[in-house]
Amino acid sequence: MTVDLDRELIAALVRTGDAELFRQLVERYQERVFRLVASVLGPYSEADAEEVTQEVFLRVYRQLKGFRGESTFSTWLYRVAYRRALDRKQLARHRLPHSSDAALASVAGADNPFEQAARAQQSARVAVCMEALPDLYRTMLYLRYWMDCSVEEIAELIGAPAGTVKSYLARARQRVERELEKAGHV
Amino acid sequence: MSNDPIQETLAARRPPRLSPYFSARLMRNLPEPRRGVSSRTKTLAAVTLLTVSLLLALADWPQWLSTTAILLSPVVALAMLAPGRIAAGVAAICVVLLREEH
Repeated sequence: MTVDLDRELIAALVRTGDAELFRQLVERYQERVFRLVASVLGPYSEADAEEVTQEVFLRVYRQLKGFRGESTFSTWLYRVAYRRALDRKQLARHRLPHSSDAALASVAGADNPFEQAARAQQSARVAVCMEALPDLYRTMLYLRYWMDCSVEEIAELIGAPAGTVKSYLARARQRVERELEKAGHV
Repeated sequence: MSNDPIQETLAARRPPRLSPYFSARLMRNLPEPRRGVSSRTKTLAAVTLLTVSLLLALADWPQWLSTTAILLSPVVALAMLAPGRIAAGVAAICVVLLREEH
């Protein structure tokens, strides 16, 4: 069991201070933590995702002795990652999407100039609507449609039941679609 | 135009990938484990010293024990290099000296 293995690794790490044991923990969780952090930061701050992931693991390493095991290690780790990424997101608020960036991404491969322009406009509008969403909704949408995570994976990362994730995703989509409709883009 | 603008917009952006050197870089950045005697041990040593000095002061023990305590107290106290602990060391010396006076 992963939970038991984590517990054994952490106990041995606290007892011996062997950094190699920490490496094992990191390699087990680094991809998932990175996906969560990148999704909180969004496509407009993705360059910071790896740095924040480093900070998350360093913080966890320093606080490992204080980990009392009231929740599983992964739940604790994801919570630290989510909070740390949100802090960074607050700092990076000024880096909101600008249309040229969104446009470049969306027009790649399009042939028709009218279609290109329409896509660029839509992409910019979606990006603005996404950034206006509450943090949790936005993170879930990015996890699902940008990172291609399954509902079960999102549930694990967010620490919520799969049913809750589905309903949050639906609500988040509705909000974005409503805003797009208002702007006449759908 | 797509029926799903959210999916279309997000799918157009490639998700970022973690560098293959991530864990190696992280391991290099880990803080070094603390070396030397811990703060707790130092405090314990100071308290022990004080207790032994008190015992020497109260009991009629041989002169050489008192002399050893007088010699060791400042050395240990200075080695601890913290005001609180130095105070404990100085207190130990005072107790032994008082005992000598009597």
